[in-house]
Amino acid sequence: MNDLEGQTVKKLTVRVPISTYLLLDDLARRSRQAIAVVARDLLVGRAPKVAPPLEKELSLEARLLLKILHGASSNLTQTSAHAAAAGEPLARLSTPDGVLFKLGSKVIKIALQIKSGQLDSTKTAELFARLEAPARRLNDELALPLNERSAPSMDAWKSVLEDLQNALLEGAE
Amino acid sequence: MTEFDQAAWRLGQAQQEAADRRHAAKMAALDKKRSGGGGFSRSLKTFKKAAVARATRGQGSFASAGKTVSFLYKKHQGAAKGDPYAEAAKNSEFICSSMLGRNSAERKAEWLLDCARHPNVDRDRLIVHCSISRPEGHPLTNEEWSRYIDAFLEGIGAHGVNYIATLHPEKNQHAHLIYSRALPDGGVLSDSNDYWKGRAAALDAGRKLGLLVDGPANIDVERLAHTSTSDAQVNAGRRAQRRGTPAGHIDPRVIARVLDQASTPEQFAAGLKAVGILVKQAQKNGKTTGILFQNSGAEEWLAGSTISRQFSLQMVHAKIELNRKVLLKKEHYLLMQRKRQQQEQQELRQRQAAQRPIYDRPRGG
Repeated sequence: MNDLEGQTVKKLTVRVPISTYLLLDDLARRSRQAIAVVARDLLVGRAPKVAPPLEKELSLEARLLLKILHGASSNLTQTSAHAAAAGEPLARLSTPDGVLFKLGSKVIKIALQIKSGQLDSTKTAELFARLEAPARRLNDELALPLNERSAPSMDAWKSVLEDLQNALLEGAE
Repeated sequence: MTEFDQAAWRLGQAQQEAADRRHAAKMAALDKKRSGGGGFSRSLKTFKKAAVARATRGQGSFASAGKTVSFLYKKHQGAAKGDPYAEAAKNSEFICSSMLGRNSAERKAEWLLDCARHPNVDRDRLIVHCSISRPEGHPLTNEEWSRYIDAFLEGIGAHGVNYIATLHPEKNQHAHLIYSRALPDGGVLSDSNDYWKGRAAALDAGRKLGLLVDGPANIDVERLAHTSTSDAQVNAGRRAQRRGTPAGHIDPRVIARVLDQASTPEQFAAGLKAVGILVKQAQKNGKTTGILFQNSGAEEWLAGSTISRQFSLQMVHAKIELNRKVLLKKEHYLLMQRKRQQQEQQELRQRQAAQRPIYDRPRGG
């Protein structure tokens, strides 16, 4: 290697032990690059980026939780639109500072964390257990009645949103 | 013998070169004068063409297509900026989306996630930005657009991808669709011929949902709906649409299949008639110049070579001749085989007769 100082190397063949090769292969598969590209990055001191998992590579709980979060996000958007149309005091909930927008941001943040593989399976299972019921309440008690033009009571609004907020806040820790 | 006068020779050469340069300059000035005196050395014809093009800009075929085609498909550059661009326009309305983000800033993280999943694909090629326009006076409701976008994405094979559709309700109502080619199963949707695929899918989706505007303008190239659709067939289809007559597309695979089986021209014609295609020879001044095909029901006859090169008159005759020879050879082979079998059977009978005991042989032999 000392002979190569100051020279530009275009092609280099390196022999590695099989264990090292298997590690490189695994890293290449996870970063979705060719093994030679990964080896070259490591040689020049660049750490190869691990690509986020594909949807089919996520666990069952993660996929179910994503489905719940997608539904919750959509319901929150609809509910926000209805709240804005309903006027005061509900319109206050749909402002960028309102609780509906904040809940929506929280839901999106958790969903992105799951999609990028940042949440481990334990945390995912915990979130799934916490969020299932509040998300169903949001759909059945707020979003569906609002779509069918029947307005839930103020207590129902408060109860459902508090339920979801508690579940999300617990999940954030 | 006089000595060679080198000085005089050199002077003569220099004078000649100067005269040549003067002549060349004179010719260049004349050319410049003829071309209109512009900064470019264009001919007068090119200059006039460019002037005509400038005068009629905005009135060409694409501009008129926007007024008549039911769903005009356009692909845009810079797909990564498409989402904020579509959202930022005045009076833009959200139609539908499969993504979590409620605005372009929130959706950016999802687009980047898709790009990170496919590091070997360029961002501007992974995310596609296209727009689909309606002609003036034929707007669609948001619900119709939503159903249409679903059908369009299904048509191009982008089912389950991340996408966002935004409506721009202008004089020509149009929807901007930004979608990712990253498929849910981890693959990437092919972008080969995607302009033609998108264009065909745009009209197909409209046709499926009954949203086409009546008129002769729904000219669909259909290059990919049928394989090997030649320019001649496409133009014939357009002429038929303008006339309002049925346009029969002739599938070259059908003709090839019939041709493979035919060993005489009569067989070829009969085989084609059975599948609804008529064939005749093109005649000029009493001479046969080519071969013509017509889909039954259509008005136009198409030359064989314009459907496919293998269907020119010479190629068709050569193929029929080849089939005839192969058939003859096959028949000859079968005949020889039968004769050989008969001979073998006769020999076997003779051998068996010779091996029978004397008392069992027929009398007199």
